[in-house]
Amino acid sequence: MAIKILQELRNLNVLIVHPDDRQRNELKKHIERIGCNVTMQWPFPKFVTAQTDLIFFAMMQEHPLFEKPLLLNSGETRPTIIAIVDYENPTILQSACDIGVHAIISTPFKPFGLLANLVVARMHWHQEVMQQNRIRKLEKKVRNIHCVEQAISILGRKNEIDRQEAYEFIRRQAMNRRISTEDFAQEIVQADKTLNITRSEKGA
Amino acid sequence: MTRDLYKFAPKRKLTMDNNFWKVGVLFSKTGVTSVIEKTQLNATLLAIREINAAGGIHGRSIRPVVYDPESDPEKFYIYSKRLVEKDRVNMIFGCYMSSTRKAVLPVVENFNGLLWYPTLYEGYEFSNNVIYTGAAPNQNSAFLAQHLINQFGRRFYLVGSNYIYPYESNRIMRDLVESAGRSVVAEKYIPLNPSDDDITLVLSDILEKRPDVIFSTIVGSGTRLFYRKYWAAGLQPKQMPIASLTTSEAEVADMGAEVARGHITASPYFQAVDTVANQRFVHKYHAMFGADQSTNACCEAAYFQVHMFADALRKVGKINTESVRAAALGSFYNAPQGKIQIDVDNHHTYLWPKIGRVNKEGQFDIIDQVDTWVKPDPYLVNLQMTEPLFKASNDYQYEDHSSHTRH
Repeated sequence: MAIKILQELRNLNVLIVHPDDRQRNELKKHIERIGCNVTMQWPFPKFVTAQTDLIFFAMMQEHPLFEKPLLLNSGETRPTIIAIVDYENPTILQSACDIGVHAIISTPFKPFGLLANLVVARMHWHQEVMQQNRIRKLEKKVRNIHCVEQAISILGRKNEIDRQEAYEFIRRQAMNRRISTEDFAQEIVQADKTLNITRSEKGA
Repeated sequence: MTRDLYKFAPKRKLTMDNNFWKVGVLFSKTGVTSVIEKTQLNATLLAIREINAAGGIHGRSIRPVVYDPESDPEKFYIYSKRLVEKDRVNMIFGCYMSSTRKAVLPVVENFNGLLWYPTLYEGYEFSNNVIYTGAAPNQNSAFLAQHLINQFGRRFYLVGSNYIYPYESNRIMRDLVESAGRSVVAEKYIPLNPSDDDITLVLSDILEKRPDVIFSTIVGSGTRLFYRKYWAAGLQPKQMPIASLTTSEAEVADMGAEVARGHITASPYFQAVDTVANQRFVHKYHAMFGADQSTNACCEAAYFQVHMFADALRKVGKINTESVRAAALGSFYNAPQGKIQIDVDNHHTYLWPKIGRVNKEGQFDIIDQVDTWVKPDPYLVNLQMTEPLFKASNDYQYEDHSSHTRH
């Protein structure tokens, strides 16, 4: 894992959001030594381009910029986030946790330790992306299962067949029409809803 | 002659002496890596003597404070602290093994000194308080792998001493070998101070696996044992050479030329380098330490880095760390290996990779070399053997051909 992460560092677009001072310059120089592409910005931008892979941002006592929505873990893919802190007090650390940063470095900045933090941050980011994908897949699966279940019970109710027969019917029809079981089940559920609407309007 | 040089500094009383530029020197005269470190010490003292003989710097001569840290990281730490705290020195020339450099690092960082480190190492380091004048892996491992793959078959055996430099060198070598479609048949480690049995065990494994080439990162006293046992077993370097990054002229002299003959080392410098600057260097080294004493790459780096320090000091006229560092970064020097430069961004040095094969005199015949210097890239993960790594960089032009002769 570490080697893979180290290998991809050379292609990373890194954005440093930090006031223009000696600290920022030191950080920039060392990230360039490691081999990343670096751009810098201050104050905090309204949005970042999709090409930004990693953001270092100053979470400074005198620049309270903590709640930047573009940094938050919203379930969408976001860049890797590394906070730069000048104090290790509860307020700052709470803000870092709220954002869900992938790593924290401190000023005054030291070259030794930065590579380790970059690797840890990227590892966390990769895990986050992997987990998000997994969650998305699982959510879809749950929705599909729910839909097929609904279709089975609709068919069972209407045709007085058991669950097994109903499922077989759905599967066979889906195969014949070369669509997925879930899509066909979806049609049944939709059709049933439509019919129910028609029926209830008639009844009214 | 050497003895006289060694004794003068440590016992001196500590005064604010305005007639001298005082610097610290930490190379081991005893312990597991003393064979090579003594040559670094010699070269350091030779360079200092040359500078002083030429009138010093701004009328003041350089006075070295020399301690023997015995190849022991703890002693390196203690003596480096003594150098900065008691001897009031901010410039330290020294260290061979990475473990000893890591021991000195926090000291020079805390006291804002400058460590001049004349040894190849495994990379992945930058400190504002270090200048690295030995090779980074992209300057010798890649070139060696390329040579071995072109010249010697498919099956590689990796063996090293049990510490960080061999691990990282082997990781790099394995990457290069495997990405070229060749195979690593084994990767073995022996203790830093190995017993006879440790060597015998590895050698019998080698005999069993019959690789095409052995890549050895055994350092220190184990080197002699390993090559000697290989030789005693009647193995042939033509069929199965030992290739190394660390077996220099010093180790060859230690084990004997007939033992080392035919084996291969990659390095930015060999005594055999044919430049005017090197002829001068070797001549003076022999005159001072004896004609039987060879120079080597670590020794050469120890030599030219003192001259680079002196040039920087001459330029700024004061020995404070900021000024000397600022003047040294980006500076050029006509080193014995060719013209070199300290990189402004990463503090490592542009060097000239070469491949040498031990001849019957115990010297290296240079059998392959790059046609341009190689930029140091200590954070390069993916070394590549393809052309671009060794292409001439545009930002460099010869300013002076006189001291660097093409071969």
